[in-house]
Amino acid sequence: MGKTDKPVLSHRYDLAGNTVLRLLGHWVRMKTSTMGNYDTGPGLLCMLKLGILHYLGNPIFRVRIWLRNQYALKAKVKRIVAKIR
Amino acid sequence: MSPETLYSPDDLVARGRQLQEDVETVSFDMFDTLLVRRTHDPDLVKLPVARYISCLAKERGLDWNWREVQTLRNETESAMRALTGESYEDQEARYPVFMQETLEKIFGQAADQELLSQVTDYELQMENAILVPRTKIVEWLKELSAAGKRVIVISDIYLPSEHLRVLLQHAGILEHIEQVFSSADNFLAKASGLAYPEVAVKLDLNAEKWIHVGDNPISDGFRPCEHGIKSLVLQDPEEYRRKAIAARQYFYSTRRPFWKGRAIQQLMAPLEAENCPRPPMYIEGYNFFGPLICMYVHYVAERCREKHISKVFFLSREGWMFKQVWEKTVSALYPDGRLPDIEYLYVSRQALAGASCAFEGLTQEKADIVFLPAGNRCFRDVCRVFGLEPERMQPYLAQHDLDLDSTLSPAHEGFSVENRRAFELLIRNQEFQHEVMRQNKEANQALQRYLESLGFFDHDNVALVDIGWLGTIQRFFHCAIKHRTDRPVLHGMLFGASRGVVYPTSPDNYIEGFIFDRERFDFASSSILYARDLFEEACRAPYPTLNAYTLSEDGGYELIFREMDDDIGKGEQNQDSHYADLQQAILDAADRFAAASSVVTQGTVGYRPWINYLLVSKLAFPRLREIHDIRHLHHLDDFHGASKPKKSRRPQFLHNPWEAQGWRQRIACMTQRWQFRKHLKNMINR
Repeated sequence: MGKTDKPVLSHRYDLAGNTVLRLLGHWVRMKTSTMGNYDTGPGLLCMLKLGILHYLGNPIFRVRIWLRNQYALKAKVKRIVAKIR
Repeated sequence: MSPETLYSPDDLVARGRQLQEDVETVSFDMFDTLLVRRTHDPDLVKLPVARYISCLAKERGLDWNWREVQTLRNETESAMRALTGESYEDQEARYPVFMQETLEKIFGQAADQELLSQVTDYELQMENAILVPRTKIVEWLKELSAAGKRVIVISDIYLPSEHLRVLLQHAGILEHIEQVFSSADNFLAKASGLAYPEVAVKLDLNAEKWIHVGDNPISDGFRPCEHGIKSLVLQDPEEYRRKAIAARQYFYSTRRPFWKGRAIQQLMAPLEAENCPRPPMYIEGYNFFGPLICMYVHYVAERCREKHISKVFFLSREGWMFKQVWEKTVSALYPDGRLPDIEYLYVSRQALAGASCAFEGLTQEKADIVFLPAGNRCFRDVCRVFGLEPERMQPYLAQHDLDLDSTLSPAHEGFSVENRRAFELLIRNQEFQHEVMRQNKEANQALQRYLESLGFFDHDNVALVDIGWLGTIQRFFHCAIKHRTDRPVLHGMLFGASRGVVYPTSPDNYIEGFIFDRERFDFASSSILYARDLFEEACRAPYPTLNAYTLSEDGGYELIFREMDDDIGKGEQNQDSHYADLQQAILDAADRFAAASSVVTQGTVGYRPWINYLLVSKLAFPRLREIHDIRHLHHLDDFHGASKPKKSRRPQFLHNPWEAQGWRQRIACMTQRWQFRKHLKNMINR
């Protein structure tokens, strides 16, 4: 394995060498000068949402799983309490 | 007893290894535990299957679009689930039953067992293409099997266990599994928990010495615990993130065409063990060249179906890569099989140039093409390109006050208008033309025998697939065969058509470019002109170019290839090894492209915006590191001569970053926007 070797899909699940940040940079270029036909273009909001998932996805889903488990636990406790009553 | 939740495959396997000493049996959930899907939604596999059924129906003259097929399948499956729910606790469905019923509603009496197995095979092929074994968990499973533990798979799905075995076999893990159970077999599912006692009775298992591993907190967590089985539940935030990203991109692709190509790339990206560290050359091959070439080949297949083309000839040497990509992708993209035959055709501009002069001589148009590359200067270059013997041409040149070394190209010192006029008169000289035709007769005969041996003239419509750019190969090729009445219509489908010289388009001979065509006004895709050689080298076959066609002693033909023992030949061999990783990456990408494309889109309509983005961002606005990583070392142009053109008097401030060296390249990378503006001006002015 060479020094510069890396996976094709990065650990953020983004394409190596063509990340969402590069796309964002290109979007700025698209908006400021003529670049050609990109149909609808990527859309700023779409890129931002994807950027959040690529860069902050792990903590977000960790919290989501934890919250879901808390709700499940609460629901279980409620069921047990209801049975006892 | 309550289930134990683990948050990564590593934690799961570590916990499993702690527990495995005391257990006899380990059961695994199949989907999202042992195997993960590239797609976020398992139902996406059903879309290409619906398209396939729709194609089969159209072949039989039935008018069913794929959406109607999909709706019917869903309705039939739901009806079966409701019916099962009346007799069993779980509302399960069984694929062979509801699919047979769906097919009967579409095809009537024609829906026989063969049709069902055809559709089933395609569905399993698609499933196989999007399923990836989860490395860590599969390694542990193999360890368990080797340690003599009983390993079983239990899944809640509409596919029966014989189909699940096919998927596990493809993933390479079936041999380590004792038994596979599916809720489709007996309608007893994990969701209600009824599957567990059923499995325990069938295999005579002891619940106390049994661990179940899965990803669903209820059916893989609480339900086995209710039956006294220890359960490990995997809730991996990384997997949730991967799926959320794929889901977003798929969702955007349904509303914004720009995201279609990106969504395809996300689905064709390697996962788990496939996604090991690779050199930069491989990464660019997979993420840049691979998608472009696959989309181009998809376009060729689509056009061939539209135009009822019966044979596709991939022209050497770039056609070598296109043909391999075709073989890997097209049968999965068009499973109905309505596809042309394919063949590799040995051609080169050098070999065809001479053969093209056998009947119409050397036209002014063809002679001018020689002087397009700045390396060609005089009549010697014309002789080299068209395979003429210079000494025999001297008397004709002398008639017009020319000699072999008279400068005929305006790019060189010594060019004069008189020389040019004399050259034009020479072209009109009938004796000269007879000599040109006489010298090229043999090459033309050999070419025709070669084509006859391939059955070229047995077809009415053939496609010629090549990288591009001027369409010179097809121009010469058409000239060489146009005297034959049985010649087919030539549909030239080029990767890029730069059209530096006007192509003599006619109904039976035309070219069109997919990625770029100068006849189509498209700024973004014209970025390909920054680095044409890069694409040629990425697709080029690793063997020498064809020099000529000659007749063999037995009356057949012989293909004469270029010797590779000189500096240029050695340079080309160096280049072959330099690009080996890149070419491998393109082929690896092709393996996964068809399934990804079938899931995201139908046809090539939505590809354009993403292709444009890839070209502009990578070629017009590259990073310096990228240029260093992927620029080719050598490029052999069989047309290009060795003469050096005169230098331009005007200093050049803006350089193409792909052609500049050293500090000029650094400056070129800093002035990309100006360079691109200059490029666009050139495109408009031309």
